[in-house]
Amino acid sequence: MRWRDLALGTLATLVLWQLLAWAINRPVFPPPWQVVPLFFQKLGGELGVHLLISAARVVAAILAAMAVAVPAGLGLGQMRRLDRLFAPLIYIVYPIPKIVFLPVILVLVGSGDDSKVLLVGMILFFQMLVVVRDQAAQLRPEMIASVRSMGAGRRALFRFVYLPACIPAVLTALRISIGTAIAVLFIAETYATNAGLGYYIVVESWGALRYADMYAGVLAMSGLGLALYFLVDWLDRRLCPWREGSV
Amino acid sequence: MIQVEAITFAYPNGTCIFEDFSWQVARGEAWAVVGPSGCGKTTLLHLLAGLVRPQAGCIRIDGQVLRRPRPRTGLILQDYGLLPWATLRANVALGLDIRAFYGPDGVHAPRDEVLDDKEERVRYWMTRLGIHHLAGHYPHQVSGGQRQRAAIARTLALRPDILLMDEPFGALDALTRQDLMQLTMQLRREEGLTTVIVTHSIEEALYLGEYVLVLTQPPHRVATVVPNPHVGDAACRHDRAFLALCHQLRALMGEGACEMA
Repeated sequence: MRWRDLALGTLATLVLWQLLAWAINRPVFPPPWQVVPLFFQKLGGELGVHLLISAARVVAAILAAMAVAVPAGLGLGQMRRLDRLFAPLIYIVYPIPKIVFLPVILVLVGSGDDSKVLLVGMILFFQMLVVVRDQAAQLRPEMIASVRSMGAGRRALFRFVYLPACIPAVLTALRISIGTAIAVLFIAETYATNAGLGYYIVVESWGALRYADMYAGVLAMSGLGLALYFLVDWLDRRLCPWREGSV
Repeated sequence: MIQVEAITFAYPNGTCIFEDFSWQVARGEAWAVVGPSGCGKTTLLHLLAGLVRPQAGCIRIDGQVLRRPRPRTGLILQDYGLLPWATLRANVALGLDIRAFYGPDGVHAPRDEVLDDKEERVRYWMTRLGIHHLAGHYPHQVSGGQRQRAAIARTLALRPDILLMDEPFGALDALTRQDLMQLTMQLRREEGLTTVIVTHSIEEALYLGEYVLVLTQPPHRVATVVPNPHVGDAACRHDRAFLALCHQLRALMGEGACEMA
């Protein structure tokens, strides 16, 4: 996205927000000129800390999901028999909204960072698994044969074929699932914790009827999502230049 | 140089392609393998490349039994096998990168491989094949003929002594095909290559092979070999002798087709 588009989009949002604030005209919907300065002011303090904690949880979830989903997806994509064995299981489990496991995870893993990372990681994991598997299955046997004929064994195939082939798949999966991942993180952070943007928005601000603070938290959460989208786009341009124009 | 000794090869689904099949290629010879589609031409190349192994018998190259892809054998497949995410330059360098990755271990790369001149070798072969100006392009951005040139450059950069090609000119237009066939014959003379080129076109086979191995319907038990005095000669297309040879090959291939029907 162009910077000009970004600026225009931000401006339009602010205008709409201001109009709605006038129309609703209640404390629960403060206008942007109250919230935006507060946001920047609090960003240097506790809001910034909560934002960092949430960001760290999402990034940890992304890395953990990648670490498991990439090898698993490559394996399933290249080994038909293994895929036939697991495909029904994935088919059934994939559409389950993972947030329903929140209570189970809280009990089993505890209320710390691990439970949030696990829950968000599960969402990203299934998305990546499916996309990487399909990508790996699409690799043409002729291409693999011709790379093998140049002396490539398993390790070189992984380094020169499988790994570069699944980078775009991972980025696609991230692009699709980051929104859901952050939404789920928000819910997870409102239970049994005292850190993270979800906690800041629901418990610290909403619970204390500090509406402007609450919206500062909402801004931070939106910023987190937007930043991750930008990061994925940037990585795509850096790592997959051959897709230029096709994204 | 290549000795195929009484090999038997069948696919897991039971289709037997070769049964007690023997065949020999001497160093420096140019061979074309011709036959209808599905007759096992590609399988033969995969066997020669060491990508698959026969269930019985063995293939020897320079006296060594072939058990895995051999570093000095170059293989060029039908759809060129280029990596879609790599530039032509990176594709041409791929084989050398793989060798650098393993080091000269004698298994994945020749023991005497020195890769100090990697960049030069890539540049030399890209220039020799006339694609140096496309170094930064991706395979989908160039023409079929240019992709095929990249595939040839990639293989020759590895300094092979055997070159195996599977229908390398099938997808090209007539002019490009003639061009590349000429270039291939020229390169094989320059580099002293032993070539085995698979094709379904009789004319191509007679241009590319001093000897033509005719495959009909599997399983193949005997190698039917037709010597070809017209190799590399595009001008003789309308000679009576050339046409007679075409006819002979067509008849040989036709027998198998009838058997199948």
